Amino acid sequence: MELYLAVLAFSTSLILTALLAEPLIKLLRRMGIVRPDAHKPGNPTVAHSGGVILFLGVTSSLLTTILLAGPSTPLSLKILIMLASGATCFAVGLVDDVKILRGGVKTVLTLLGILPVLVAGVQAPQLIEWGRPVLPLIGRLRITIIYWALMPLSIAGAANIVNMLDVMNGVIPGTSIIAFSALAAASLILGREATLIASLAVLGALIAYYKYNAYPARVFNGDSGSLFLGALIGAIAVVDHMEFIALTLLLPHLLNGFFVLVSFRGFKEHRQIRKRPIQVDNNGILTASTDPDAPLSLTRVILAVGGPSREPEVAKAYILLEAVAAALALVSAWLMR
Amino acid sequence: MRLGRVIAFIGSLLVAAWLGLIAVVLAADLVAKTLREPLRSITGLLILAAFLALAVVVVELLRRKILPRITRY
Repeated sequence: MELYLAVLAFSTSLILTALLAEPLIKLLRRMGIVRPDAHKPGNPTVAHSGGVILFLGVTSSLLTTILLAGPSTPLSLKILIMLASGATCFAVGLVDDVKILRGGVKTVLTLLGILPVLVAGVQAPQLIEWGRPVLPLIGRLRITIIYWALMPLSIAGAANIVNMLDVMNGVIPGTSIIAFSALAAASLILGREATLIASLAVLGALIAYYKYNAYPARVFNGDSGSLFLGALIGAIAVVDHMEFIALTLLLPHLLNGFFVLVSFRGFKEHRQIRKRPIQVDNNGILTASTDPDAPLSLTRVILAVGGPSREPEVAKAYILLEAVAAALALVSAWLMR
Repeated sequence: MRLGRVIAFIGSLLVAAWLGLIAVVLAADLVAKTLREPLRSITGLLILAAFLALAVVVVELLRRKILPRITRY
């Protein structure tokens, strides 16, 4: 395993993102790309589409790594497919950040994220062995029909459930730092080089970016950020056969997505929701709704169990829950050896 | 916020969901070893559908019955 490439990917994205973040936030504000922060007293405006910062940091780092590794090697091709899937969903998110799309339209458009994987699968079938996921305890399983049926959802599903968890300052970069660290650790256990390089590139960018989105946020991730990160997890899962690890890492997101989909009866934009799962008072204290008809979300469960709290406390709870998922993912990786 | 309570409650849900996934994997392996295509995939999809149906029932129970009772003020 070429560890120097992974170290290079991490350090390049960390440095580039740290350099790009401040000027890009100022540029986004100057361009009027701002949104009100609904959970703070007075609803102050915050720069939007922080995903652009993450995208530039991760893409520059991975393209540099690909050039150094040799553009036509299997390792580079795998990283390129992961990046192309992430970039497709990033583009969908960016369109939504600038020109608001309907919930259903956005979800359907994220299905395009599977296209790079499909093209690669047809052009180089030996690179991506479709329909043969590696699973804990049993090893490689041949489930072609179900796998193909579910494959379009692998990237769109991951992108959308990560997007659905982007509810408070710091939650997405905080939970993603844990998730990509666990992916990197799992890739070391399982010897997956492409996953290691891609995860460390994203991790470097997230570490540099976190302080800008943590409470009180100076920039929101926007759909461009959350769809990009989710799509990358989905792409890593499909391309490098980390399906079960990714599924385990996304358990908090899945739980939240499932709560929302079941109680909202489908995809809805937050503007369409009449009964709120949580309430915010004038001092910024969040409380869970006690209305049995109010929709369910993971934030409502956190507040119902933990009591009324401030936004940073809820974000901390999310990050700790992701740490639980990361521990389960590492146990899964150990069971997959 | 009582963080320990939150991690214990939702962490248990996460562990239960993970054990559910492991159970689905073992069931899929059993189906793969005993049945041939296309019966194998049809049975696999039925197992997945049953798992989803059970999850929907649990979510509705949590939303309508459990959460309004346990919500702290």
